[in-house]
Amino acid sequence: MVKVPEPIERLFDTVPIITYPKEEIIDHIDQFYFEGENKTNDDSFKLGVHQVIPYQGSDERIRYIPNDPISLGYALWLAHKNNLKLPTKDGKGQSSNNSIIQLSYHAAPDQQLPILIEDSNESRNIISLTAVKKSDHTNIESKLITDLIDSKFIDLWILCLLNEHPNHIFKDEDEDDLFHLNKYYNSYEVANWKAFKIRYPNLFQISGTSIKTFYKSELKSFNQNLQLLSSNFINLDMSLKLKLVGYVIIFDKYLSDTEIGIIIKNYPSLIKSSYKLLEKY
Amino acid sequence: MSLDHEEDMLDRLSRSKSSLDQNKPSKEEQALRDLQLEKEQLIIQQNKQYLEDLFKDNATQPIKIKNVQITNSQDFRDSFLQAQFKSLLTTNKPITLTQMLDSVESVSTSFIKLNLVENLLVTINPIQPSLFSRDNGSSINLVPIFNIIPIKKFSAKTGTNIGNGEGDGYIQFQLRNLLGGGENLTFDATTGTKTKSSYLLNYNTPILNNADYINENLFYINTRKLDHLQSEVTTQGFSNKIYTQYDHSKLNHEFIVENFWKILQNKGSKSLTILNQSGSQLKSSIIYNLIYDSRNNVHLPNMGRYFRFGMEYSGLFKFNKYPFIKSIVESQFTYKLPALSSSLIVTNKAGIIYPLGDKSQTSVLDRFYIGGPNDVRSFTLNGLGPKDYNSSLGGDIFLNGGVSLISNIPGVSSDSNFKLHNFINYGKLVSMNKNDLTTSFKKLTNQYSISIGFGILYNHPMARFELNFVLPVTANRTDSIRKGIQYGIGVTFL
Repeated sequence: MVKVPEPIERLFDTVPIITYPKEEIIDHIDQFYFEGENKTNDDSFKLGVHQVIPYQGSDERIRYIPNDPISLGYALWLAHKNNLKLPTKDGKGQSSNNSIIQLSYHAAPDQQLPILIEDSNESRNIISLTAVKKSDHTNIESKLITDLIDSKFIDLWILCLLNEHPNHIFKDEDEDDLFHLNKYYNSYEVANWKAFKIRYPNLFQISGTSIKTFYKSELKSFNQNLQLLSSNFINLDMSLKLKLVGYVIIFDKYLSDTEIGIIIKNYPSLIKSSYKLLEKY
Repeated sequence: MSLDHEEDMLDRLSRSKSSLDQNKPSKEEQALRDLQLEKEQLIIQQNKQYLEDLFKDNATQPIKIKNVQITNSQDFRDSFLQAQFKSLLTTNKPITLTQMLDSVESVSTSFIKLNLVENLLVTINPIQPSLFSRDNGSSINLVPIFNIIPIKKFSAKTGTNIGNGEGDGYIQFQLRNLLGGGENLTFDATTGTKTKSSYLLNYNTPILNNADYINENLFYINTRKLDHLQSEVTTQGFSNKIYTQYDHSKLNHEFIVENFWKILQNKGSKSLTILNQSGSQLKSSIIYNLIYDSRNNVHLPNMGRYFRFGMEYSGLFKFNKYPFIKSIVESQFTYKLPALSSSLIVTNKAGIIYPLGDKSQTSVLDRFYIGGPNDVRSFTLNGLGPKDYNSSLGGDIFLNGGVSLISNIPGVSSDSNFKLHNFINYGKLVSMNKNDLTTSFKKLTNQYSISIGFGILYNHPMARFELNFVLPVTANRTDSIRKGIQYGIGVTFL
């Protein structure tokens, strides 16, 4: 290996002669802070979701929740796990170190939300929450239900986005998108979420009818699965319960005119339990 | 005979050194050669002087242009040709020889400026006045004949481009003089180090057949890697540009309307600003540039001055996600230092971008970025200013500049394109707080990043190549520093 001559090395070590402090970053980003203990240490997390919308519960308290079922499930789970409450201030006040931020899916490493941004001291870690992962449940029943929610339900959500185009859930659609340019782009990107297009290539090779037919058949099995989950709701593991609550609330309250929303309406007891659970946070 | 020849060749090879010595001219021979060269120069000079004197003596000689002729004109529209020859044909009255030569030059320049001819030769033929002419022979009747070789209408080529710190390969299809009035249609497909893919359709045409005013319309789709943002941006849109290319003035104008749909995709950045700004954004802006350029060479001038003032306003429509107003000023002055066989280039740039509307921040895609081998040397490309988790976020106000001393290499002809280069560069890039402008401007008054260095440069007609030994003298803690050897290829340098 070539060694740098000593005089040059000494010269390199001397410069820069003066080092000034770092340049300040003054970009402001709206964050919806979870309510809870304002810890003094540097560890914190941010949940990156499409959009945050206000939800007024029966207790008249306004909470800010993510507007898609998967992100809402994770927001509830993070609140539960860290002993926090859902955000109640519209991005202005800071009530804990942890928050929810609105992002475009283009911000995520694999172009899909939600993502978890973990800050610890000077380092930051970004985790995609929808990435395929192994279930850590030892109980076979919980394992099967986790797989059902983490794969079958997410596939159904993707199918809903591709068939019914509820584009208002995306961040960029919220801006004044005059030409609806994103609508077409979103459909293209959504098909790649969770490697959906790779797993079901035949749906995209033939005309658009095959994807509709597949959606209908998946809706049927969703109805059957929901029947089982509804009857067993009390016995479900908390993480699974909260994930399911995410679907129930978003489709009942904000996407009620979609096919999934119509099916969910047939389970009033599940809806009631879901709202009750949400209002705990 | 052939063997003789071979022997001769072998002889020459074996006696290369001694023969070299023999071929070296003697002192007397060299003096004779110099004398001959001097004589040739003198003859050329005398001829030139003779023609100049002749034109000078006859500068006010009345001339009448009877008509104008052009060869190979079948590719041009009549209205276009009429517009080009207007200066020669507008009046039936006699004009001076100077006026006629100016008009001929202006017509020739128009054809050359619009890139319509491969070669152009003008001959001026005298004609006898008619018997019934009333001018009593007081003026000379002339007919200028423009002999042109038109450019090929269709061309396709492949090649490489060298830009500021990047290189790419392209394939280009060109349809030139499409409708016989200097209209060009170009399609470019490019891929390179920074440009993943780019498709560009460019239609340009002179406005009202006038070569001084060009209308350029660009439609494009491209995806570019932005390493400093650790992101990628896909741009789709069109821009319409009207610009001037005057001969009689060094001052030119540009008016541009840009409409884009951009998608910023995060490719590994952990900065919250990048995460927050990732996604789709529509942008529509109007830009005006005032350019004064009297330099003798764009890449490495040793004479003349350059000045640019630019304004951009983005906020005409509600759909602009990050509305702003932006201004940039650039200047370059060159001074000859004959005592040192050198020239001095002093360059300064400054800019400000101010967010409009409710937004308190600007888009990372619109901000300023400084630093790099073509900019503030001894710092990496876009390596100065605010940073977050290794992503350069750019700044809203900047000031940078440099002084370069370009000298001849001792023992090498002054005509050589290789030069010695000594420089000092400085730069500062800061974010702006809309609610506290005083502090923002104050930050610009101190703590500059400064670098020095020396090296060698090669001035190629297409670009400038530099190889420098660089050292940062002062720097900010987040600046990306480069110590030692740094090379730069590009068309514009500090």
